[in-house]
Amino acid sequence: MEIETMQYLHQPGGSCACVAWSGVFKIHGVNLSESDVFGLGSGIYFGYCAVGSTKLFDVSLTSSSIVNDLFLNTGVYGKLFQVSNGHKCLDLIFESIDRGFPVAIELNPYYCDGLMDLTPSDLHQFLPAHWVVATDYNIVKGTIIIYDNRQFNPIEISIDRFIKGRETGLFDQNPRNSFFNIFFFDKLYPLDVSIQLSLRKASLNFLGVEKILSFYTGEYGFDKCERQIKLWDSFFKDEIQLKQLLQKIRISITGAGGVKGGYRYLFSRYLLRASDVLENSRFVDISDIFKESAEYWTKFSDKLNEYSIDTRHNYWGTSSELSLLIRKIKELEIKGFTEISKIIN
Amino acid sequence: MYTCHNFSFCVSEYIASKYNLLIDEHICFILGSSLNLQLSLKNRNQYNDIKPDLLKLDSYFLESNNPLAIENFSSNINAVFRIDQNNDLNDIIWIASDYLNLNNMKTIVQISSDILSEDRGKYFNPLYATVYFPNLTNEDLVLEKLQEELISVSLTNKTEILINCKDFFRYWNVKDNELYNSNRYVVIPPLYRDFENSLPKIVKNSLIRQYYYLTEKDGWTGPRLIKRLRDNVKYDSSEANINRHVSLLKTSIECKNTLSYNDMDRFYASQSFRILFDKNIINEREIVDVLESCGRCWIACYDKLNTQSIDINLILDIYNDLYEKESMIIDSLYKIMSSWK
Repeated sequence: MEIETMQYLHQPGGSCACVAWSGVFKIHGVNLSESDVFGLGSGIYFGYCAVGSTKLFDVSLTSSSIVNDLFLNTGVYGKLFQVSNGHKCLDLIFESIDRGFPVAIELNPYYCDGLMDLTPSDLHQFLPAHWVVATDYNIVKGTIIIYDNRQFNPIEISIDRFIKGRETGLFDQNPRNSFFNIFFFDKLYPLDVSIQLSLRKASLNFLGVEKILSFYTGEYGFDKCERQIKLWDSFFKDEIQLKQLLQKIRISITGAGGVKGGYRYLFSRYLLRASDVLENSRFVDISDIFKESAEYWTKFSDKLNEYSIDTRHNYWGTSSELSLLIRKIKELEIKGFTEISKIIN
Repeated sequence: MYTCHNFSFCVSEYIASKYNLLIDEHICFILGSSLNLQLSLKNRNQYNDIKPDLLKLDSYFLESNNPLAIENFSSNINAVFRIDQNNDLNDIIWIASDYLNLNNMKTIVQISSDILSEDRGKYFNPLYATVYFPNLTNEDLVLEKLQEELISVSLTNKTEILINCKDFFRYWNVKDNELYNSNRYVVIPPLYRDFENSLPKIVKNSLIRQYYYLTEKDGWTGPRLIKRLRDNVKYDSSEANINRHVSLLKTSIECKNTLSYNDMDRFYASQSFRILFDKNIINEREIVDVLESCGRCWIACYDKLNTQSIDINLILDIYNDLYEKESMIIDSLYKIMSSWK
């Protein structure tokens, strides 16, 4: 049977999840950009993790529930399933493609060649599961067509490799055959309502919450991070391990190198949209705050990289600069969310 | 009148047992944006489309649970939400381990309504449960021993079932049945600076999501669903179609009755909103009485279906009454939201 090829419009971008779901929403007739998806998913976040006994340190700048929140804030029905069998999951993906809808799914990053090529090999271990969009398949050739956020052209991957990429990997690299069953009603929630829901949730995260899992959040998290950066080197006897830690954090805050400004440029653009939809120009000023914060995050990320590759720097100097950057970022972002909270609450 | 709510009880119990965080189950109801009225397929295939087909009314029942309650709850309180499914056997060890090693932590799962002994409860979906092994000792954390143990399955404050672990698998086993989206849920609430102080903002988001869930969805929820059903029976007033509507209403109400009351959870919702009002989280009390009145309307509907002779006028009267009462819920919710402006 001849099935009409899906007219999938791929717009590359920095955040794999946001690019993937932006593409899926567009096919369903809802035009959301990468920054819209990030904002509507209440994606902006700050968390600092420090477990000295296991030398586990991390900085996280995106929410782990961005996709769920995207659905709940927009009124799209979306329920996450873990399909017990890889082939069964594949059938579901094919079924959706046959109906003309692409499928956003996660793959073990080791099975995403483009991502592997762009990331130094010693950092592959730090990459989480990677969002791609499956748009077509060929049973005769045994291949699936996927789109990756960092590349313009589609990628052909063998079905066997795809199945392996869906159910292998350690910890958060393993997608475990997860699959979102989604349904778009003809009418979603009004956009102003969705934006307010998303901003209220993000504000609460920054201003009301102190800890999620092992991550210290909000002002408390920033303070802890600022103080403890200077102590990281004391936990590692080997400087290589310290450099690896800094690179791991850089991977985390740049979305494996694809996202600039700690995701704050995305949030800044979202706030401009909020300004239009909510007809409130105060969001423009707040957008500028997060744009400034994004510049500091870029410097932070560059500093992490600089120390890792240039042996002339000592950690004492680097850590002082990193701490100062965190303090400036904290002042901006807490101020930004305090202003947002005043408007929407 | 004492009423129960399966989802609210289970989430409240789970959070309390694992995190020592006491959130009243009625508040959990609100935070799950749980109030609902929609058509759901009886033999729920997890991959079915959402828009019902009124030509196949026999295949549906009226659901008063929100199938996204646990997702809503987690999102509204900024919790981490995960679904977990190892294989069934490892998941059982996980449940036992949670209880033994994590200070009596209970696990929250979804379970087949077949576990309810009464036939009329069998369409109760989703059915949540908090489970644990009440008689475990440290030596029992081995699969062969666990399968001989009793497992406690709590559905509400009033309903706890003790069954053999091997039997538990018949109601919980995902592998062949594929009815549920995972074996276990994990909801990890964050630590708030001051949870009580943040609660009004959390409730605000929950109620906004609640309102739009009931009023959007292309008219397949809330009072507009009742209107569709009413229009359907006006369009086709044949005996066969009237019987389908009677069966739909009776089955749906009886289904709720197995665990709670035949009021489609409106009394429980009323109690929940009363708590919000008493805590000064909402300023409008009208919804408390509106929900109670709606609950009485559902009870009256059931009584009429069982005691009066069935004809088109009776069905239309019932739908007219339900439409009026369910619409008042929407109006009351809107008033609450307006009072925030």
